[in-house]
Order: sequence, then C-alpha cells, then structure tokens
Amino acid sequence: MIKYIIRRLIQSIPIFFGITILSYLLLWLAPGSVIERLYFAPNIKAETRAKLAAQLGIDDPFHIQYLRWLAGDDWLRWDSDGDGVADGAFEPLVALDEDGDGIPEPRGDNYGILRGDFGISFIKKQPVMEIIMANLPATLELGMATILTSMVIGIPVGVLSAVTRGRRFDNTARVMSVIFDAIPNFWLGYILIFIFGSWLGILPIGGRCTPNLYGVCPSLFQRINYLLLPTVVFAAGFVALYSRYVRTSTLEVLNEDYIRTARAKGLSPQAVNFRHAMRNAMIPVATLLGPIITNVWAGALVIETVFAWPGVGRIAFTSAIQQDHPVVMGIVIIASLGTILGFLLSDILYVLIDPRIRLN
Amino acid sequence: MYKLTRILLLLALFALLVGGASAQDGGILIGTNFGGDPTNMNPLISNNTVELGLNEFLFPSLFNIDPVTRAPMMGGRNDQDNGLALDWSISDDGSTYTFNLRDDITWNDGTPVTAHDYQFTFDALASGLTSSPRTDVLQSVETVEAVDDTTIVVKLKINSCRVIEELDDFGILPKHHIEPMLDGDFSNIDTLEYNKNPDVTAGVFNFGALIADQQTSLIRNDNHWMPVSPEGYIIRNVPDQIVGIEQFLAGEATSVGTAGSASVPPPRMQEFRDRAEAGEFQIYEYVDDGLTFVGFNLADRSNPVNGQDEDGNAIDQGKHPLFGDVRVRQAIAQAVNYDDIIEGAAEGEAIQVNSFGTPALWGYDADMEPWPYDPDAALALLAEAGFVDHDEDPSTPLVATEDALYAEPGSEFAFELLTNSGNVVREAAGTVIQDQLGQIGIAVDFQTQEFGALVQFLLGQDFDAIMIGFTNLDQDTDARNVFTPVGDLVGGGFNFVSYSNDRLTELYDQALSLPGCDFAERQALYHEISNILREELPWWWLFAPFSMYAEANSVQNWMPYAETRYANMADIAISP
Repeated sequence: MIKYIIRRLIQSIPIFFGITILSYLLLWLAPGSVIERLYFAPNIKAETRAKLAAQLGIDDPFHIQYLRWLAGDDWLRWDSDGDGVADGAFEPLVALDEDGDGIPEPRGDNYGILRGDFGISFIKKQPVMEIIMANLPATLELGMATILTSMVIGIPVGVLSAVTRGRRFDNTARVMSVIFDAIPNFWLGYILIFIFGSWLGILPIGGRCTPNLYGVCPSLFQRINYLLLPTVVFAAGFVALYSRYVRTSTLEVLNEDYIRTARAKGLSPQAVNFRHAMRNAMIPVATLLGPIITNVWAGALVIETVFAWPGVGRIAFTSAIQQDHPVVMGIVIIASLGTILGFLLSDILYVLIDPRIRLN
Repeated sequence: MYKLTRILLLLALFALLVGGASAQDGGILIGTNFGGDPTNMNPLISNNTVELGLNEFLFPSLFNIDPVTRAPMMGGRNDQDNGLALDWSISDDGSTYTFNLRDDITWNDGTPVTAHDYQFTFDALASGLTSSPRTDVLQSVETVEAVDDTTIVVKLKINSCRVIEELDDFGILPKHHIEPMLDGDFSNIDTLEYNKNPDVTAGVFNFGALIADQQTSLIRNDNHWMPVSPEGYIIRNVPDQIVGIEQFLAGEATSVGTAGSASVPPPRMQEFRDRAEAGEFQIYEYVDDGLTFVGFNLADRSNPVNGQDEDGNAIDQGKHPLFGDVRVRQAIAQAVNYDDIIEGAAEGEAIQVNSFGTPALWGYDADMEPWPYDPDAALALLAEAGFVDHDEDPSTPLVATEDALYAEPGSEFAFELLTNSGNVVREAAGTVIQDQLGQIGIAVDFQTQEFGALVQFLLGQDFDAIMIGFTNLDQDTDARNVFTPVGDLVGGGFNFVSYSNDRLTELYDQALSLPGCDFAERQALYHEISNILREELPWWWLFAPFSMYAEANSVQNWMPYAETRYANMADIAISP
C-alpha cells in the first residue's frame, strides 16, 4: 500500500507540472490584462499604465513570467552587496538594465511556488496564500456540509429506491433525482432566496455572518441559518448523484447469492437490506469521493457567488475576471492537489472497504 | 405533496429556531457593494468606486467639493467637511498658488492635520515609486512646499487651469504615521499594512474592520469636531446584483450600492420609482457623468501607427475607407432612430447626448441640437460621399463609386461593429444599429467580444467601429488624451480613433492655460469644443444613462447629490 501511494505521488509530479504550464499559458494567452481592468480610463495616461504593467512584471515574455512564478526571481537579478540595488543578472534570460535607461532593474524578491512563495496578488497587494487561507475555511465549511448532507440523504434514498424498485417511492426518487440534477444551481439558489429570504423572510439573503461593525463572525451554530440555503442548493445535485449510484449498486448486490442466503436464513428485510446489502453496495460509492471533491471545488464558484459566501470559489471567480494571475494560479495549484489527493483517497478507501481488492 | 409541505414547514421552523434574518443594528448604515473588496484604502493608490467612496469618510483632502457644481471650493459647507483650504491666491504670472489651510482638523490620534501632511503625500506621488494612477498633476506642478503648518505653496511647470482639480485628486496621508514605516523608500507605500487597515484617519468615521469578501465597516469617530449620528457604516460585499437588491428590499441593507455608486439597474428603475412613490423607500435620480458611444476608426486599420513622432510631427496613418470621410459619419448619425436605442436598448433610462460629456458636466454644451433621425438625408449624404444603391435593392449593401474619397470603387459599404459581451444594453443597442443601418444599405457585422479582447482591439487600433462607454468624466470635459494626437498611441493611447483637428487642440490648450482661468471664458471654449466634436463625430454620440440611488426610509434627513449619496452625513439620523 505504502509503495503504491508513493508511486502514485511520484506519478502526480509530471501531471502537476503539466497543469501549471497549461494553466499559466491559458492565462497568458487571455486577451487584455489586469492593467486594462483597473486603469481603463481616458484620464490615465498610456505611460502610467505601462509603468504599472512593468511594476507587476506582466510585460515580460511568457517564459520569464512562468519561471518567476515557479522558481522565483531572486536568482534572475540579485543584489550581492546589499545596498538595495541589483548588481548581477542571469544574462541568458534577463539583462541587468533591461530598458537601457542606465538604471538597473529592481532585484528579484520572489521565491516561487517551488519554495512555497505563491506570490503577491496584483489587485489586493497581499500574499496569495494569505488571501486563499482567509477564504478556505468558508469553502471547507460549505463543502463539508454539502457532502455530508448529500450522503445523509442520498445514500438512504438510493437504498430505499432499490428495495422498493418500481414502486411509488422509487419512481418519485428517480424523477426527483433527474430534476435536481438538471436544475442549474444558480437558478435554484435564486428561487430559494426569493421564497425563504424575500417572501417568507425567515432566512438571510446571502452572506456568512450578520453584518456588524467589528467584523465578528460567531461560531457556526450561531449562524447556521446562513449555511442552510447554500447547502441545500449545493447538495441538491449531489443527493441526486448519490441516490442514483447507490440505487444501481444496491440493485446489483440484491441479486447476489449471499443476499438470497441471508433471506433464506430468515433474517428480517431491514437486516438484509441494511446490514448485508448496503455495506456491500457502498464499495463503488467510495470511488465517488474523488470526483465529488473536484465537483464541490468547481461548484463553489457559482454557489459562493450567488449566496455571497466568502469562500475560495468567490476569489477564483473574481480573480479570473480581474486577471489577477497569481491568485488564480494559487487556486489552480490547490485545486489540482486536492483533486490528485481526492482520487488517491478514493483508491485507498476502495481497498479498505473491499478486502478482495489489492493495489499494486 | 403533503410530505413536501411538511418538510418545507419543518425547514422554516428550524430556520426560525436557529435565528431569523440578519438583524440590522439601529443607527448603522448598510450598503451593498457588487464589486470586489475595498482592499486598498490608501487614498493615493485606491482606484475603484468603493474605495473612493470610503476615502470620502476617512481622509482629509485639500478642498471641499461643491455637491452641485462638483467643483473644489474655498472653506466648507459645514463643520463636517474635511477640506483643508480656507482660501487661495494666485501670483500675477499665474505660476504660483498659495493655499491657506485651516488649523482645527486633527487625525484620530490627536495629531493636527497640517500642510506637511499634504506635501508628504504629494512627494510620495511625485517620486514615481508608487502605483498611484493619479499622475496628471505632475504634468503641471513643479513643486509643493509646506511653508508652515497652514500654508502650502505650489509652483507650476506650465500654467494650468485644471491644477485646482488635479491637486485635489487624492486624499491626504498622515505623515507622522506613514513616514516611519517607509524606511525612506516611497515604493514601500504600495505594500503597507495601513492600506488594508488605515488606523490613523481624520474623517467622521474611523476604519472598523474588513472581512474578506463579506463586509467592510467604518465606526463613528467620536472625537471628530462634529460627530455624526450613525454609529457606523457597513458595506456588504455581494457579488450578485440581484441578491444585493433583494437584501435591500428585505431590509437587510439600508441602500442599494455604496456611498460612491448608485447601482439600481435600468430594468428595475421603474419598479423602484413605483415602490418609492408608494412610500416603501426613498430614491434619488440623476444623469450619470458617463456616456456610451461608437468610436469610428478614422485611420487605416491594416497599418496602425501613432499619430505623431517623438518630436510632435504628424505621421501619415492612412484613412479608413469608410469613416475617413466625415460625411459618412454624419450620414450614419442620421440613419438611426435614437429613441429606438434609448427606449429599446436602454429601457428608456438614458438621454441622448450630442458630443463628448453629458448635461451633468459644465463643459458640455447642453444647447446643442441632436442629429435628427432622417434616413433620406443620410442616403443623400452617402451618395454625395460616393456610396450609392447600385441595384435599387435596399437589402443589398451600398457600393462605392469613383467619387468615394478613400474606398475602392465597387467595394461594398460594410463594417464590423464590436462591443463587450455581457453588457445587455450595448448588445441590444448594437442590434438596433445593425438593423436600422441595414435598412439603408449599410451592412454591419455586429460582434461581441470579451472585455479584455475588446480592449486589445481598441488600444491596438485594429477595428472599424467599437461601442463602449466611459464614466467619471471630468467636469470641464477636457479630453486632450482622447481627441488630440498626444493620445494617439498604438497599444496604449485613448485617441484610439486617431482623430486630429488643429483647432480643437488649440482650444484645449487655450482652455487649459487661460490667464486668470475665468470660469465663463473657459466654459465657452469647452462649449466650442463640444460643438466641433458634435459636427465631426470622431465618436458617434449615443446616450448618457440615468442613475438611481435607493435608500431605506429609516435613513432620515437624507440629502443625496449625484456627487455623493451622503452629502450631509452630519444631519443623517437612522430610525430603528
């Protein structure tokens, strides 16, 4: 098992680098830049915008920008005598005085993600990791509530659907599953906001905490009303997914010989369905965890925007719109790692649940 | 169905048990912001409307702004104002301004706000080491010197009648607090912790807290010489405008938008008028200080070059085969019914404009006649310009004859019109334009582009026509960066249509450096500019949108202006 995990992790390295190059390239190819987003106004002169672009380094060629992000730039231009002015440069890639104005360009002070430096946000002028970590708890809170809700509802519904196959419950569950899978999250979100927030006035309309002057956000239990709507909307699709998966898997198991044997032994239907059938039916469901973590990450983009939920999905969305590349890349890295580890976790769970399977 | 109802009721009961909708504390203003967080509240660097709106309540400035004329003024309207200048004098040759400042304003740590704070802030800007975009002032100002605590002397490089506005383009930083944090290097200003947490300020509010992507709060400054009534001001960060408006309607916010933005979208303005009339809340409407237009590329788009060389000599840019001829532009201006654009695309929530600016700006000549809707006159003008209906079929494009100034004889009258995707008003306006120009034989290939791509086409001068809009235009409508060769720079300049008119450039220079800077004389010059631009149509002037503030009834004595939502914070009281 350990060897398998190590091998999988090693295999992940080229995948990870592939993702970073492709993502950075896509961002670089996107037309426009953060400068046009922020300073597109007739009263801001072209020289000012050019100066601001140079300060951010977004006027450099692709390979320099990528290298700076990946491995930092303290080795591209350095200050060996410590007087604050660069006095050396890695000439094959950059010149000490790039623009030829007789003044050395500033020394590099980025370490790159390989050394744990995710860079500074173009917009917020704040370390990227700080920005992500500030919003990560909100996404984890919503994501975990969503996965938990979808499992708590989806799995029993799937089992009950299977054991009542073709009857009213099964038919209703299947129809609802298709409906909830098909309804776009943002639309369902608006509808529930209108009903429970605007019309009935019993749930808050967006946000994570009650607005207050001192920026205090109380514990989860005291503000669980804020979590309710986004969780219900977010979980709707996953409930549908789980119930369908579990239903199919349970139906397969119900036809197995050992289930017939259990019934022949005179066990109660509950014991057969939940002790024997459900446990075995859960094996393929475990493999869902990886894709669901990925989907939660991606879905957070929409849900967090509609419900003004201050999570990582929100900053991913706004940073992509504003072309704040360091933040987008930081989130891409974390999402990639989450996905890689999520799938690995699925495989490991598979082995733990089903002793017949061996990883090699 | 019965089970579903039961589940919904249980859900509702649960929600009631765990807490109702967010309660609004008495005496707090709560706004909704649809943009990003105000992450940089340093008044030298801050750039978006939310940040600028907050700066208004946190930082002193050199002048108070007249809320009606939006012009800097001497002294203040009331004791709440943070403008330092009591009065000023100008030397006989116009090259030196001396400002006398009030001495009774203090930072919230008790330190007096002085002329040295202003000089420090200006020096930071002039160092060129910050990411401040407010560099216009450096074109005209040579030095700023604090002679003593209450006197500032400003020496100009060139005489500029805009210098008063430019000197007021940024709030003032507390020198005693910021300078020790810089290590003698102004470039450190960009990354100060102070930018996110401005603890030393001098406004009616102190900075409270920022919770990323949730809210920013200001707390009443009880040590201010004129404490205001509201306990604080919270700006909720709500990325979705629909949700933000529902928060306001449900009483979770006291306003739609923030201090610096109106934010009631045009499709909902009539509903808001009706509901305000029914007494549900208060509204205030005004004409926005921005306009939507179509920019015609007047130069050869296949070979974009700058308008002038480094020595200021004109460079031959070629001519656009269609728009190089002013008669073609004038014909297009008469071929489309503006009412259809305003009613059909802008939901009726806009007015037609006839030149650069809007009636809200004093530099704009509001008496100009609009171009009439007259398709026959348009066709006659196009025929004069050498474009005719060769097959007497209006559904096919007009064709250029030998008389066309720049188009190849036999070529069809067809062009590409671009705008940014996602802007429903512009998308609808483009469709109206495409349809109505098509009716007189002008084939318009209307396309929407993602904003970044559109900007690339625009600044690269690689387009036929682009529909876009600008807001926050200057009061005097000075647009030398937009309509003179100085701004005709491929890749970065805002004269992206490559317009040049010697008389216009001369008028801009005169209006800028008029001895004595008499307001009426300057206004006359800008009005003449307005009329030239109306006639020459380097941009096809379309409309200026209406804006609407909406405020809860609980906000009493509310007196908004277009300039600001809360012009009279000192008088505002909030009922429970």
